[in-house]
Amino acid sequence: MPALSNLSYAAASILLSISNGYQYGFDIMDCTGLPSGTVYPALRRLEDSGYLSSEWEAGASPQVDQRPARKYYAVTYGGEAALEAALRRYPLLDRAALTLTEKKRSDL
Amino acid sequence: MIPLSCRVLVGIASLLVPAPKRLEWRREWQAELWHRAASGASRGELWHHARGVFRDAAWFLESERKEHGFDLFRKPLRAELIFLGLGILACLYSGVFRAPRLPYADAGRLVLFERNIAFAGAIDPRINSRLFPVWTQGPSFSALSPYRILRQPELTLHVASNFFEVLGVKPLMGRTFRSTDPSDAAVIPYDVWRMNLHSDPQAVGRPVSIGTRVYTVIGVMPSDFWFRTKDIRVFAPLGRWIHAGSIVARLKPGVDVASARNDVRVLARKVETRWISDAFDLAPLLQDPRPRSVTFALGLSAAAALLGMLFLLFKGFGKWRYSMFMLGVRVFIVILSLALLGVSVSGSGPVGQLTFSLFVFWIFLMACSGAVCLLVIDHRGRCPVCLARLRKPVPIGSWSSQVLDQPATEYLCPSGHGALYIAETGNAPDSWTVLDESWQEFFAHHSR
Repeated sequence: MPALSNLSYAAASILLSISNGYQYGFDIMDCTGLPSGTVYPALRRLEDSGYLSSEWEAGASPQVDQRPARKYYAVTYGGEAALEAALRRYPLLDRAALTLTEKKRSDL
Repeated sequence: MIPLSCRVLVGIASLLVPAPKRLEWRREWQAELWHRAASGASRGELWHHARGVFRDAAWFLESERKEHGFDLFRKPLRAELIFLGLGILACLYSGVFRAPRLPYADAGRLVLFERNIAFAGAIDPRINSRLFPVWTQGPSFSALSPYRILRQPELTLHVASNFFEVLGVKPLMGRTFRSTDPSDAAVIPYDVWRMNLHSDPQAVGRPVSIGTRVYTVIGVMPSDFWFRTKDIRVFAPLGRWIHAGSIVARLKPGVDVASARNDVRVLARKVETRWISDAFDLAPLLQDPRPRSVTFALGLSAAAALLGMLFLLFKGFGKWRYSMFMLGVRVFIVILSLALLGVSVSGSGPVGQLTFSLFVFWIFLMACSGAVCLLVIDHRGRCPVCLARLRKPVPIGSWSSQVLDQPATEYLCPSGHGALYIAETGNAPDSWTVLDESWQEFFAHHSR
């Protein structure tokens, strides 16, 4: 696993968005405003580093709705530690995390 | 629901992804695009998102590169790059890329007749003599003049009596040909006058020995005059019109090459079949044919490289992936070098296009085949990671027990990347065993 401080700003913002419930590629793109050419390679790299895990959408929902199953990403324990370190390193991202948490609460 | 253009984009990019992960990767992208399309995204928006597939797929290539320590500029490519350098130098030296200066009056109206030989991808400037009278009556040309280049005994240009008038050039001294001139009359180039006759101002009428023949000088051309090649030693009368020769013509004022070409084909149908007539073409004399040869040669080498890359992408080859890729790179460099050498030879050849088309073309193809075979043989004995030549062959197995312990040879990478197993009987495919870090101390003197 690479050093925690190696996380780039884009990678940290992707981790943050996933930890706030944005779980698939295009959802993360909408949340972070990053293009697909940045988000997907970052997802691969984070998964390769063990910060993310992925799994295909389970259950009968895709078949019932007649749509393709999605691949969902989740932050691992290692990823959470890396995100904490990144939030300390990027204060602006820390503030964005607060906003996201508040938004999540209001949505609920 | 996903636009066809996006699906094609994903399909092409998926070829860059290693085969075991390809299906899942494509499934994820297609699912994401499908959902985005279902949520009402426009085609432009979908296309914008789909463009990221290449960067995503490139990540897999990059991670494999890091994993295998693949490096394009390792030792084995040095030989190929030197060969490429030689090809480029030969081209520069032969002046292929320099546009020739034409010393003719109103050179834009001069055209050469030629015939496309489709099966060889080549052009033949020789035209059957029975077509000459037909075209002479055509409405597009003010004059046509046949000529023929012969190499024996010296490089000689046999020309019709109106040849120099068609080109619009006048001799430095003396005169050009008349229809009544004997076969030993000669117009000589400036260099021959200077070297053989020591710039004699009274040279007209004097005999001059060129090769094994003796000619009578009737004229001397200016120093800047040349036609097709600068190596011509003597201009002699065409004499009887031989069964096949070349034709240079001057277009009438206001006639363009396209309409003249059409006239040529229509008139040729009077004496030839339609498919032969349609193969006739006109090439402006101002247009140097060699760039076409260069384009053709480069196109061929690029096609070979593309073929190699497609082979690699579709077959995958697992851990041989980069080894096969490097083989493609090596083949491309060698074929490109051969093409450049071929073009440089054709550039200095006396008959220009014909030399490249029929002779150098086949030599080029044979050289390419030979080079590719040698490269494949050489590449088989190289490490798939660093491409260093494998060493220390160790025979294993036994010829007396071919079923249980078949004979084979194992080769070792000098940098300790792995060992290659090659079965002597050809019953088993080559197999590569990766040596992990624990073996590193045995190869400490080599960098990985």
